[in-house]
Amino acid sequence: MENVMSVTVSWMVSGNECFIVVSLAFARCLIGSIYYKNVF
Amino acid sequence: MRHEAKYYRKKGNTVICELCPNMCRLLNGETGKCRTRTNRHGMLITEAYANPCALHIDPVEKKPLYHFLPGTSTLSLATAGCNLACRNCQNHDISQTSPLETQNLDLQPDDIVVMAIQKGCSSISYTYTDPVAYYEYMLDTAQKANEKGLKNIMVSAGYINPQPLDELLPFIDAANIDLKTFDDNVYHELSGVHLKPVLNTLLKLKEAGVWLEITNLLVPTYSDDVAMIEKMLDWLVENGFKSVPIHYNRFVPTYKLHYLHSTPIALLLQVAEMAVSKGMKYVYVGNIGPNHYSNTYCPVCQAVLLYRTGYSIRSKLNNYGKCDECNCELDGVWK
Ligand code: SF4
Ligand SMILES: [Zn+2]
Repeated sequence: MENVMSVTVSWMVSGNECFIVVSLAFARCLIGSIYYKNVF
Repeated sequence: MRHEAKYYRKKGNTVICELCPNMCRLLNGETGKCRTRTNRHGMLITEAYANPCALHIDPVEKKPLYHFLPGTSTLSLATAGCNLACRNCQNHDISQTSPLETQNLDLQPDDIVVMAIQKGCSSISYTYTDPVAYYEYMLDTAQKANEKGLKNIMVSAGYINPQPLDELLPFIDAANIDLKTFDDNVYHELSGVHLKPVLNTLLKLKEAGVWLEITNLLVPTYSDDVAMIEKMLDWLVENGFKSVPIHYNRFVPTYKLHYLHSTPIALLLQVAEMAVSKGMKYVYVGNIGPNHYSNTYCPVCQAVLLYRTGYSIRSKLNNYGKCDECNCELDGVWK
């Protein structure tokens, strides 16, 4: 199963989007990869 | 949130759930193996409806789906509960518990669809736990999403009976199915379920034209036997899955299997090479950082068409999903 672990802050920025996914050492994610998206 | 469940029948004072091959027989007040479906006075109710305990916007690559709308965001959700009991579950805090025990949001299918559109997501993903455990919620949400032009993605172990799968399939655009091993005894030891129904699901998804990718996690001492992996590959090749991307993922010690070591990288690469030599067109190795098998290569001229570093992508595919070098078509859904 896909790991639920991801740090998202998208819900904290209302109306806009800014989210970061930090994937740690879990079996379905790449270790240490960072995904960042910013839509203002 | 209680909701009448689909797919059950009564036999005397017992209710038999027919949603998944576990076929739980439940007396009044008893709950199935998935911890979401309970016999309440002869009616099977699901506790997993409109109450997700996990909700994120993820890159679609995280599912993992590498050939489905790359670079897009997907609104991803799960309720608590699961019809499997994997010893290596990395989400056991939400999968091996009931929705009555987790902190949940209150979101009807319409709310999820509106949120996905507002947040600019191309799709909704039913993931993290097994969505079979929240089948009715997935089905209703997928129908509404489909009406609004959103895609639906199922990330699942594929342990579901054919009839409920048939009802769901018209609304599912893409799926990543975990094929855990090719040995039925190991399947049962590792996850508490059986292999055959998963193979049936794979065949049905392919026949229905759902975009499909497969994940095989190599768990040391359970699913890392090369001869067994070869058998799995032979089955995939013989049954027309050559164009289905396969993701070999590295196991990291988790949950009940915390005492094992991680999958050796050399083994993952060996298995990936074997898959290529057997004729699998798109082979990936995940969970080890960027490597030769993180990229997508043209199956004809071998040009690198999608470079991946983590979840970031550089594409050399043209807009129609064709190779920029030789113009051949790459299997997948590109727009
Ligand atoms: S869906 Fe749940 S209750 Fe129904 S058969 Fe499967 S595990 Fe049992
Ligand atoms: Zn080419």
